Amino acid sequence: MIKFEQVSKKFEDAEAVENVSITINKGSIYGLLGSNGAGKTTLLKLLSGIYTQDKGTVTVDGEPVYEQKKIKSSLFFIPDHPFFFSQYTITHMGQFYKSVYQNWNENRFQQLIKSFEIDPKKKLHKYSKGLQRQAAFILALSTMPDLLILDEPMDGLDPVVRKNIKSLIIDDVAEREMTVLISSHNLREVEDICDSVGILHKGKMLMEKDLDDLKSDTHKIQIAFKNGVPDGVFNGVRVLHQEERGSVLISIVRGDSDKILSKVNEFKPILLDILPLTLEEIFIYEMEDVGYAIKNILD
Amino acid sequence: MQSKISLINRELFKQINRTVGWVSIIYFLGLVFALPLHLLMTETNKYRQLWEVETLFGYNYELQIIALIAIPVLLAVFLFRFLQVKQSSDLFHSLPIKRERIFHQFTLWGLFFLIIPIFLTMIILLIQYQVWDLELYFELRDIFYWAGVTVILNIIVYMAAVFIGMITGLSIVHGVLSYIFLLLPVGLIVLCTYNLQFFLYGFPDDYYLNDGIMYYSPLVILEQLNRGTISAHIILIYGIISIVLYLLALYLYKKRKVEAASQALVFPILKPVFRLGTTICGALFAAFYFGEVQADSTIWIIFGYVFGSFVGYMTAEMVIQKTWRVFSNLLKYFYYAAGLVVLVVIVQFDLLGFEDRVPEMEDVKRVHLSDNPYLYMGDFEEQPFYLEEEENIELIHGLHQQIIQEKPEQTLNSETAFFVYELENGRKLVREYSINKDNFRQYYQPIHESAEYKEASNRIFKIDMEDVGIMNIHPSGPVNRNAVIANKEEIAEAISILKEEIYTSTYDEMYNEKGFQSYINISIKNKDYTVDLPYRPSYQKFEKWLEERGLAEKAKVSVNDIAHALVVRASDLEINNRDRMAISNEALYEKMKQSPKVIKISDKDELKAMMEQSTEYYIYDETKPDYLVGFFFEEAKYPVISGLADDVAPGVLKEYFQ
Repeated sequence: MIKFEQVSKKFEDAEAVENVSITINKGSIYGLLGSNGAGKTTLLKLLSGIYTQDKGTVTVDGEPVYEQKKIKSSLFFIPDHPFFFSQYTITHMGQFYKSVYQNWNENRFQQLIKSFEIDPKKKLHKYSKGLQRQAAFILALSTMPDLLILDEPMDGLDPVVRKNIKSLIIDDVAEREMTVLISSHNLREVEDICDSVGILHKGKMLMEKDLDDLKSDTHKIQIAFKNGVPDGVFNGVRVLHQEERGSVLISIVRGDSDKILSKVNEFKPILLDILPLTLEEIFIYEMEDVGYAIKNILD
Repeated sequence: MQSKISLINRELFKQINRTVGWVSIIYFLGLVFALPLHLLMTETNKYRQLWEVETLFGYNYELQIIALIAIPVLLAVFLFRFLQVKQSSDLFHSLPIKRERIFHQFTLWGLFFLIIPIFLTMIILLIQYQVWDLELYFELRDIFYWAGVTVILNIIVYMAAVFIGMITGLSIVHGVLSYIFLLLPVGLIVLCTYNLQFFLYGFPDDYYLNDGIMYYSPLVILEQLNRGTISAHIILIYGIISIVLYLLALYLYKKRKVEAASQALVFPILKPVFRLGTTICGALFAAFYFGEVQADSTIWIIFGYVFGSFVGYMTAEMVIQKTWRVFSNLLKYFYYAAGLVVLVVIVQFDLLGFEDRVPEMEDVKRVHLSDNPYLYMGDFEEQPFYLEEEENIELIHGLHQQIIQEKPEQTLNSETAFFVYELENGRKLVREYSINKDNFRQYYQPIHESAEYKEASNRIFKIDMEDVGIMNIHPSGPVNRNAVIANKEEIAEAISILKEEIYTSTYDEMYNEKGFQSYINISIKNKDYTVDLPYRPSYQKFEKWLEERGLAEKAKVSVNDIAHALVVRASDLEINNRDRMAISNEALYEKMKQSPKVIKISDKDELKAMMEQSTEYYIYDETKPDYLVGFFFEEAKYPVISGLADDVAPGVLKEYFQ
């Protein structure tokens, strides 16, 4: 279990993150969403033990990360631009990580190199961005991390590579209960693999949601009544958004769908439909509620 | 699995090797070129063209010095480049390795790469020494001395650079700041001393700017590596400083925030310190420069403060903000400037009472008073002389108070009065003034005529007859002869007569510079110095003694050496005051020839009279003589030009120039 508790971090004069609390369950994939400069990378680097927070605690299984060799050897951070020592091939990098990470798995390393068709003799800085990122994944997964921290991992990758990498991550999560923290500025990039997401805006946490809950909890309902909408139809139901199209009322509501349906049915509507909602739509309505524009992460 | 992560991480070593190994190789090649290859070239030559050296730094000295300056800093900059680049810094600090260990690994491996070339060169030298019998040129211990000193100097420069690497996040700043840091102690002493000397009347700048200050910077010490040896305690101190720097650097590294990579200064607290330091140093330096070039002109010095502080402040701002467009942020400069003004006022108005401080008579144990601080500080074999008799101390005390009261202006003719009081409580009070001694004659005359002063200030009183070599008397002027006394008993006699002459000399006789005076020097066995003293015209007894031995002719210039003389009135020559410093003897003679009235004197009696009364003429003397006399020695192309006063000039001159 990973916990950020009221974490604040300042850079010289600017506040990077303020009073952020996040909980990530073991074996889950957590998507940290936010536009550029929201403070995502700062949180990832705090969790990787690169930065120290000014306030609050960052813990993995109850232990602080910073300067803790044991914790750090069980996590791996891939930055937005993977970095390799100059003139190093993937084999060299592998040897280096092998000497530092206790759980290095050489077999896996060799297998991954083969399956990704990376030339072990070619210098890494000569590869394209996509291949460099794949190499970074190979190295990361060979250290058999319990926690994988990825900063914008899908940015600029083509769909095939994206799919390969996603399936690699999902495999490890399923097999070894690896925990993953992914940052992204785009919900669509990560919605299919994340269990839960948090939205960070200007250094503050706006919301944290379990995606499955979110999907099963938010509904779009079309209803129509003979003589206009009676009072009290939505009593006890959280309405995120409402609009009328002619006599049809479209509402976005939260709550258990069966309960809502039975409640609305009591008023004998002439039309009652539950329509599917995309995650994107859910977020738009959610955020409208909070009062922020989140177009940026949804484009 | 502990074995995998052993004390020495091989992979980390490989990585360090890839980043700084080349520096090590270049250094090794440089050292091989400087020493073993140099020896090889001379060895394979037909004749051994090797010369004896004091230390091995004597061979290809410049190359060795450049390497000592450049290599350790270069190595530290490349070694800790990983800290200054965001991406690599992130990588290293996300690894499961503690910072402490990263620091130890990098710093110590860097040290290894620094020292290994020296070690290998030493091995080669030892082999060469054995094979080629190089004892004639240097000793075996010279090799170890060379290796030891090279290592320790490398280490201290390297550790200083490592230390600086921890406080900056930019490699360029890292390099530049390292050198500034290394030079700072000496630079500050020099700048402060010069600046205090502008403002504080009597500030003994020469006393503070002695040779000792070079030890404050390992870079300055390099300047004389090929001449002297560095003492063991300096090496010990450098070693201790290196360890302190290592620990400080480690401490700072652990405190350092990773996000500070690519910032000029990593710790925010250093920014005002850096800004203030640069502002002050800029002000001090500019004031020093303009003050020196413009001969202590107050306006130029103030200009120096304003200009230098501004440039210093702007430079600091530019470095911190990493842009040259910093003109919007000037308000802070005015705060600093105001602070600087307060500082200058404190010093200028002597609010600390420096200028008026004269020790109480009863506190004084003994006093040194001389015309030259180097008599006190110079590395002579002897201790500086002190006066202890109460009468003399009282006179010096009076003189000192008189100088403070009068505060005479410095002129071209000024001489130095250098005071060192040793007080009963063990402290010293040192002052240096520029005065004209003639104006303080009532003090100088009794002091210099006292037996204590004569004995203390004349080295001839300290000669041990056992050590005397030979005595030489050199006539002044372009003649090719001198008197030599080699017989020990005769030398003893001469010395005792000279002592007598000194005892009986009056103040005027002691400093009578008239006539063509010879110089006496007495060599001392097994020492590389001689005891020198002038042969004053008043030494009648000594002259008689020389005549008895037939040496008088050889010992002095006589009228027979001179063919004729040309005399002009000094006021007829147009010597521009500005040019005076630069005019040569030959040029002066040309000017004399062009003078409207020139008289040629050939009469021996008149020549003799002029010789005895003339003084060697220095063109930069403030007081002009009435006449300039060009004495033509036989066979000399140009004359020796002397000055002559009207009241002692022969009648023929007065008639001619009427």
